[in-house]
Amino acid sequence: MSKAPKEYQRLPGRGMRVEGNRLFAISRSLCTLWLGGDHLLLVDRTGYTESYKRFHFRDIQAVIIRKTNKAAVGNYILGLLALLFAAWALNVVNLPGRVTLWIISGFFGFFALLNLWRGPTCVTQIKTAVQIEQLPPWNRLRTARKGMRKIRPRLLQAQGDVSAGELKARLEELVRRQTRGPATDAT
Amino acid sequence: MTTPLESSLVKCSKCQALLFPELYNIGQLTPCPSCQSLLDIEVFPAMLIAPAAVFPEPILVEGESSCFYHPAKKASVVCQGCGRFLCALCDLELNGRHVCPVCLESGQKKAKFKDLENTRVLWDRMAVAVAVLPLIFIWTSVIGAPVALYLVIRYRKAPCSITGKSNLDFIVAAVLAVLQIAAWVLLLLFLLTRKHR
Repeated sequence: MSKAPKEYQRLPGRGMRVEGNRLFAISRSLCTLWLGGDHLLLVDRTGYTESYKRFHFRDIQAVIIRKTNKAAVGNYILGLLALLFAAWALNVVNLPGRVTLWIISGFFGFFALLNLWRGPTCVTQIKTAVQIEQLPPWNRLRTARKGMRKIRPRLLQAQGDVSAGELKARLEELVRRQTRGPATDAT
Repeated sequence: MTTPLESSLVKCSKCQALLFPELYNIGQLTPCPSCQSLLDIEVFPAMLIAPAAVFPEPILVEGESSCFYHPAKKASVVCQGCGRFLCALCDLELNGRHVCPVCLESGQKKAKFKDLENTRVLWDRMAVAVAVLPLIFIWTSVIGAPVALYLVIRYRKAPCSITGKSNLDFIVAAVLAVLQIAAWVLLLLFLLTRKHR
C-alpha cells in the first residue's frame, strides 16, 4: 500500500515567540514553519496546544529580513566566559578543581562555537495587504535565506512570474503616482 | 489607518520608516536610510495588486434568481453547504468550495473546514507526558497511568497536529500506561499474598 503524501512539508528553522520580557515572559511558544499546497503555515506550540496562522502564497507581498547583532553579543559573552574560566583553570593547582573549571570553560566554549556556526541572527517579517507578521523560525540569516529559496518558486508560481526589474519599475511608477497625489494625477 | 502609499511600500522592521523601491529585491543586505539596520527586502507581484472590493450585481430582469440574504441582488452561485442562492458578497470561497457565511460559521464551530482551524490540542503528546512524567516520582504513576490510559481511549480518534498525524505517541502512551498499571497490580498482589503467608 502506498503512503499518502504529506500535506505539509517542514521548512528549516525553529524559534521561540516570547511575549513580555525575555526573562519573565508572559508566554513562550515554539514556532515552526510549514509549506502547504497553497499556503505557508506558522505553527505556535504552547504546552499541549498548537495555534496556526496561514499565509496564502497569492497574498504574500514581501518578506523583510533584518540582520540583528544578537549572535555577535552572545558570542562575545560566551567567549569571554570561556576565556575567564580557562584562565582561572590555568591558575588552579588542585586537580579536581582544575578539571571542573576546564569543563565549565569547555561548556561555554562549545556554545560559543555552536552560536558562531549557526551564523548571524535576524528578524524576519512577512507582509500581506492587511498584516505584517514576524516569523520566529527564521531567526538566523542562513535559515531565512534557505527558507526563501524553498518558498520563492511557489510564490512566483501563485502570483505570476514578473522579473525583479519589471516589478521594481512598476512599483516605482505606482509610488510616483501616489506621491504626486490625485489632483496632479487627474491633469 | 494606512494610506495607499504606505500599503504599497515596505516599512523598516526596526524604525518603521517607509522604504522605497530602490531598496527592494537587491539580493543582499542594504542599510535602512533611516536607522542603518541591514535589510534584505524581497517583494512579490502581489504588492502591485490592490485588494479589490466585491460589488454584487442588482437584479435587472424580473424573475431572475436572487440572493437568499440580499433579495435585491442577483444570485451568482449556490452554497455547497445548504443549497441557498448567494450573491457575490455572500459567496465565500474556501479551497474551491462555495459556502454562505452561516455554513462557514457552523463549519468552523464543528471543525469541518481544516483550513479554518486555528488551534488544536495535542492529546497524543499530553497522553505521553502523563504516562512518562509521573515515573520520575514513581508513586505518582498510580494516578498518572490510569489518566494516560483514559486520554488514549477518549481521544484516540481526535485530530492531532495539523502538520501530520501519527498514532505513535498514543501507542507509546498506551503501552507505558498498561505496563505501569500491570506493575502496580502485581505489586499489590505480591504484598497481599505475602501478608497471608
